[in-house]
Amino acid sequence: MIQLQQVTKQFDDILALDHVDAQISDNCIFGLVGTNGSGKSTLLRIASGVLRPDSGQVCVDGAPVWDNPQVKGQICFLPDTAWFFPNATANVMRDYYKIVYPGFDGARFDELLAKFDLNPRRKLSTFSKGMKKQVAVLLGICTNSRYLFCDETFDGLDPVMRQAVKSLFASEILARTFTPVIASHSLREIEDICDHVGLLHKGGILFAKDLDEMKLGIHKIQCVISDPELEQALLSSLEVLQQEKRGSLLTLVARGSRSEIEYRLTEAQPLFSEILPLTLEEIFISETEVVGYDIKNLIY
Amino acid sequence: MTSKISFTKLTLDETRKLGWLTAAQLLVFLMLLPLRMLIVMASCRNSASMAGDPAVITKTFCLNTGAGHLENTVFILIAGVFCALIVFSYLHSARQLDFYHSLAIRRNRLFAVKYLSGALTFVTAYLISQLLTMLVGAFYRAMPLRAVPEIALASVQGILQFLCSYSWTLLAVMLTGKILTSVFAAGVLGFYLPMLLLLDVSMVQSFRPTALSTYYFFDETGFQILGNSSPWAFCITQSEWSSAKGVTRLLPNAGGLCQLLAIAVILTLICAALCHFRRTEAAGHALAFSCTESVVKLLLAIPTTLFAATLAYELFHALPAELAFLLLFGVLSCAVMEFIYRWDIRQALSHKRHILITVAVAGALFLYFRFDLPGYNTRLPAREEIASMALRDTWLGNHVDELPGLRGKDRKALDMLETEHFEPIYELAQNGIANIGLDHYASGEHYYVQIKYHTKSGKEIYRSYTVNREPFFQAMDELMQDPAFLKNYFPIMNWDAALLKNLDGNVNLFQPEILTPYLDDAAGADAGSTDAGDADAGSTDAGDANAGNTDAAGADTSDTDAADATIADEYKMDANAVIYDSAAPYEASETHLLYSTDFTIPASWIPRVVEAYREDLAEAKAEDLTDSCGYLYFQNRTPSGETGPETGYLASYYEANYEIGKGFDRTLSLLAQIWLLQQ
Repeated sequence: MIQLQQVTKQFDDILALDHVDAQISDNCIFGLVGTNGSGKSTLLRIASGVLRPDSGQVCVDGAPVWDNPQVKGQICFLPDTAWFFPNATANVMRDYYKIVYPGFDGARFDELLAKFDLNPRRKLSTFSKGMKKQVAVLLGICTNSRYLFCDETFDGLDPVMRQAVKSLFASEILARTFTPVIASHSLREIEDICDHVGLLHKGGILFAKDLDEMKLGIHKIQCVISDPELEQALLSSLEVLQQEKRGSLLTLVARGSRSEIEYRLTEAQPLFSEILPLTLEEIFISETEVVGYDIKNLIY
Repeated sequence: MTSKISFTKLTLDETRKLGWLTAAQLLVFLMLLPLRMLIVMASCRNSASMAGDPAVITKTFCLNTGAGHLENTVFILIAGVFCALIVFSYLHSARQLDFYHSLAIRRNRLFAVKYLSGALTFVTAYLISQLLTMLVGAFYRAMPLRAVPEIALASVQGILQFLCSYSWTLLAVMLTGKILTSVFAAGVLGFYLPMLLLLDVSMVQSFRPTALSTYYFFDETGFQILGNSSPWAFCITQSEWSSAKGVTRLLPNAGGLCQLLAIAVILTLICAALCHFRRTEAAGHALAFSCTESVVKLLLAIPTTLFAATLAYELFHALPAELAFLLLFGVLSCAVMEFIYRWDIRQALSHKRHILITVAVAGALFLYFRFDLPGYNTRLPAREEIASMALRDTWLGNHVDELPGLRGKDRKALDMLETEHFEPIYELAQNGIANIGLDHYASGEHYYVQIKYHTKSGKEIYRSYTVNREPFFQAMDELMQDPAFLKNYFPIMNWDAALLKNLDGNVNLFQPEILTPYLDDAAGADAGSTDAGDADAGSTDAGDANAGNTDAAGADTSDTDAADATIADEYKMDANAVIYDSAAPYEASETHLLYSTDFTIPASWIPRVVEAYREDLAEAKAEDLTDSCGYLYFQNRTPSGETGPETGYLASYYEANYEIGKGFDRTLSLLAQIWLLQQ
């Protein structure tokens, strides 16, 4: 388990992370979302031991990450722009990774390269951005490290490859103890893959929750209620996070189980009612509004 | 739990990845060592003078392969600079740092891997080149077995020099966050101290006219400082402290190698510590440690500003212009530094506090020196505080330079000339201080003198003044009354028989007519054999001295004849060296003498001439010497300066010139005889 305790990082006069506390459980896919400049990359760099926090610390199973080879050996960090040796081919990188990651599975890497149709003897400098990303991800997966930190990994991958990589992550989780942490500025990109999501904003983590839990406990309701008193009664009986009325159509985002909401809705005798599933984006907008953040203009 | 990364595997892999760097260095060193050796050896074989002498060929081989070869050293140092900049360039790339710093390896270990792989690129290329060079030597039979350890030791020295340069450049890399500023920082590390010395020299020249010598920068002291100003300079001057052993006599001594090793180790440890504390996010910044920004800025801007103000003083001698320069360069130097830091011209004038500090500190120092606030130039210790003083003028006082180890060392020379009877010198110093600030020093009316005050408290103060003619000669005449002063001031007074035996002597007269009054007597002395014998009677001592016999009283006629025979023989042998107009035979006319201004003193005459000169000198006035009509000059024939005790011996490399005053009757009389003998 990865624990971030009061992690603070400042670059000159810019506060990148401000006393961040978070916890990442093993064997789940953790999505780290946030606006550009919210500190996602900084957080991953600190968590992988690239950067040293100004205060606080990141621990894996209680041991600090910073300059600790024992812990860092369990982590593989894939930055947003992968770096390869000048003139290196995938084979060269494989051989190097074999040295620096003693658990690296070379045979699997070769096999995956073939599956992804990547030439192992072609210079990586001639690869497209997406192909480089693929090589980086494959290298990362084949390290067999416990944690894989991916910074904007899906950015640049085509939808097919994105899906393939997601499948790879899923199969890895099934096969061994594997915890990918994926940082992205796009909620849509990670909505269908992450189990847990943490939202970073202006250097602070707003929350980190289980995604399903979050989806089951929050709903979007559209209804038409002719009696204003019943409408008011419905609003007061629900924990409304967001409400909007256009003409006679009332749209609500409310916290609570689906059955409980359905019961309250029936009591209001609506002319028309519908409970809709919320996208991750909508959940975040609603949640962040509750805690006082207006991120409508920030996400996407 | 994970397995540890293999240090050896990683180092070898990194070295392999730097194969291109090894190849590049190999190319350079192949041209520098074996290829050059082929050319040198081939030319040796073709050279008629060298082909038959194996010792010369061996020495040539060792000189080109071994220690003390400047070009080799320079290329080794350059290799160190390039290797450090290339191997550790990852510290300046955020992308590479993301990669390397995420690996499960401690930073110090990573540093060691990189350091070692960089060093291996050089060692591989250098050793291959040295081995090939040795093969070339063996092929040309220029490399005896005894040269092998010498070349091996020289190779060790080369590797240590590389490590010094490598680590020194690495220090610049560690302190900076960009490759460009690394290069700049390396330059600063290498040349900051010499630049400060240059500033010091220029300020002393401008504001301290009474300073003894502003040219210490260029003498041995200056070279010592420069030689220690950076590991690069240290390596280049290394041949100075070789053991004087081996074929080349430039074999590095153990102490020197230990010094190099110590420098390399200390620098490497500092770099390793800096690497550990260096923040990853420093990549892309001008300096890696933000706390050094203002310090570096001020350390560079203040001397630059001070130098600009001093330059303005030299150019304009007007305070407003000097202050304008000071202000302008204070702002400019800070702006340039800020631009290097931020790479943004709009921020060039930010941190105005730094500009203020620069202008204030440089201004304060400038005004302190310009107006001589500490009273350096006018300082004159009270008489009762002084234990002894020394005077040296730049004309007659130069004789001290003849002594081994004293040439160009004004302080040492003054130390030798100290006298407790310092009243004349003190008065001269007062005159010198009164003359400070004179607009014009007339040639012949003013004399430059150096003075030392040795106070009773043990303080030694050295100054130079421009003094007036009258007090100068007055003081000199008074001092020359003292035999001890005379002996110190004119080393010729101390020359012993052993030295006289080894001297070559010559005469140069710029007023040859000075000999005329002595020629008739000399001709008379030379007319008959009896007369000649008489004329030479006084030379008996000299002849004996030449023969190593100091018992002058016991000399007999046969000795005298022998001396004459020697004179005649040497004259014949040395006839070509005598410059005169052979078409105009001697008729005791001045016209003839005008052509005959330069002639040799036969060896057997030298002791007599020196003795006569000593007697004349003891009675001479200083003014006669400064207004001389010619001079005697002597040179030691001893092959190197290794002979005897310092005092009383001529440095082998230096000619001793002694002025002949108009009243030097004894000397001129002898010179007239010699001249006649040589006709």
